[in-house]
Amino acid sequence: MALEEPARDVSGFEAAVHAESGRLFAVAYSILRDPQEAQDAVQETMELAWRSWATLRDPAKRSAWLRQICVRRAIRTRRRLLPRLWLADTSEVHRQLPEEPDLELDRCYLRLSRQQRAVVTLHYQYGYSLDECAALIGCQPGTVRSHLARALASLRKELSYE
Amino acid sequence: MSKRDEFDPRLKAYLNRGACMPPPAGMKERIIAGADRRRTNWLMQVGAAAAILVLAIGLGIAVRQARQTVGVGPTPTPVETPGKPTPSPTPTASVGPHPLLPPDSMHAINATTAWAAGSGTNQIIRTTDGGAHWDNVTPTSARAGTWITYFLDANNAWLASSLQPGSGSPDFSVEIYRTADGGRTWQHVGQAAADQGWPASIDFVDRTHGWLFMRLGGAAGSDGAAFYGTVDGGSSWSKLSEADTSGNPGHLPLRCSKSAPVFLNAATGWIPGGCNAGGGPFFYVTHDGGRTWNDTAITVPAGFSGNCICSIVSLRFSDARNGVFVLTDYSSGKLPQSVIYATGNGGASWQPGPSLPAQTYEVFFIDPSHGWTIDGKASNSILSTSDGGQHWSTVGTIPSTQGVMDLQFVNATVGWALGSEPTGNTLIKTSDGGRTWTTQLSR
Repeated sequence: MALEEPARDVSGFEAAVHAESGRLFAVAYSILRDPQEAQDAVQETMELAWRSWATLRDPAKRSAWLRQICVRRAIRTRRRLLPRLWLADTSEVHRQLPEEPDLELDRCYLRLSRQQRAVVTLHYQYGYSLDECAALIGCQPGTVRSHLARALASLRKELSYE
Repeated sequence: MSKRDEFDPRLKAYLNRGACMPPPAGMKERIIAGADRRRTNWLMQVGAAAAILVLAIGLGIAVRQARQTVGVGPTPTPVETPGKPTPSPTPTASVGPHPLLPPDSMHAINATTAWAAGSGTNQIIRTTDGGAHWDNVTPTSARAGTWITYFLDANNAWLASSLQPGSGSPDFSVEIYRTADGGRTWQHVGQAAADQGWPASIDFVDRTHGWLFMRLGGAAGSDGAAFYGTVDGGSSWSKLSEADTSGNPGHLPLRCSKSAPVFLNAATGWIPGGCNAGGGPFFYVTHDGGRTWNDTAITVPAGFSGNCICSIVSLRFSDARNGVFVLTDYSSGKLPQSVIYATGNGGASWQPGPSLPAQTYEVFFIDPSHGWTIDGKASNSILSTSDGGQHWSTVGTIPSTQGVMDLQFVNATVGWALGSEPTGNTLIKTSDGGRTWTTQLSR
């Protein structure tokens, strides 16, 4: 009995990595604001995708599936104490923001919960409806509305907009 | 521009900077290399397993030889030639962390009986004494995974279990379990043979007619979904419909986000939701049990744009004729506005009614007059109305630090809320119409 690895479309996976990982990193970084953690989230997402690649039969739905997994990983992953084995040789992560950072807002944003950050960034930056945010994050639509209202109220208060 | 007006552009600029953050150099290559390494590791694992097997066989032979050497038998048994190693089973894909969905749910049946379930703990609990005690009625033999539950009444409930999303398993089937004795016993009654997606909700209008709403993945502006139905209590399931881009009459469109459906009876049900980019609300109805769906033309209230960024939530019928939903306009440049719609003819027509107070988005009505809502901004203040939403007054505060995920009342005084804390979910009860709340279960 021959032992064969389950058939997987390696070239398709590599193409997806090239096509999707940048976008996934942007989403994860927008939520986490930590390049290393964002990279971890993307890596875990693609690991999961690789394990499931043969079952992701509809390429049109892969992007949405990857985005959903990445968002949830970004929200729920715990920061690791040690670097991942195959990221041990990671070169210096880019830490330069494309423009002058808004340090005051950054400080307030980081005080929000990850769920709140996810809703704010998915809704305002990526244009998802709140129902879509709920589906992406995996919670009730009412919870998303609550997260958004609390996040905005917190930011406005911290930044003295009200 | 006032200082308040400066907030939105500042936030958007900040978010835009985050979204423009370039990925670390070499990230893609490392991911691909990681996949290669996983493949190599897989082969190494297979090789290691084979080596261990050969070693074990060899060791067994050696032991056997040693025993024979010290044995009393006059003639040593010929040494057996190691045969062809038994093939190791093909490693199965490891089942990843599941569930990814947190379909925590509760259903208050009456003042004494309520159910609650949490997929995060794979636990179903039930009380028959108003929450003083909660019994664990979890079906211990049910397949672990994403659990979706539906509680019809004090005795009848269903559980749908899926390995999706995110398990890595190619198994997309949904196993269905049922209890008819309040959770004392559960039976595996059937399976929905889905080929993709994961269950988002399971609904029954009686002991036989039910639906499984499957999510197939979404993107900004679209939301894949499929319906499976049963007419025998969950034993057999057939695919009824699936969202597509055909635009054909009766087809559920792929566009727009869709919330869980609400069925009034075995024939009629609605899917509420919302459409991005000014697509207006989403409100589709079926009158043939979920096989065909058609757009319900909702007249938006005066002052709302017809192509508003709107969504519909809180759809619920308090009896066979009376129901409400909330339409919220999220169009930019102003605070969201929510309006209550009501029907008194079983959903044949819906009329816009009063607006909800600012920062409130969902309602729970036990009849056309009495309802409650939560102020999402003011620390979960609960407001009540006794005139169909014309007037609202703050009655109390629900103690939950991360928001209230669900709110249900069974009469004018008794209600439960599903709260969220950093350590887990809480069940919180009121017996005085929302004035005071007591946390019953805190994990």
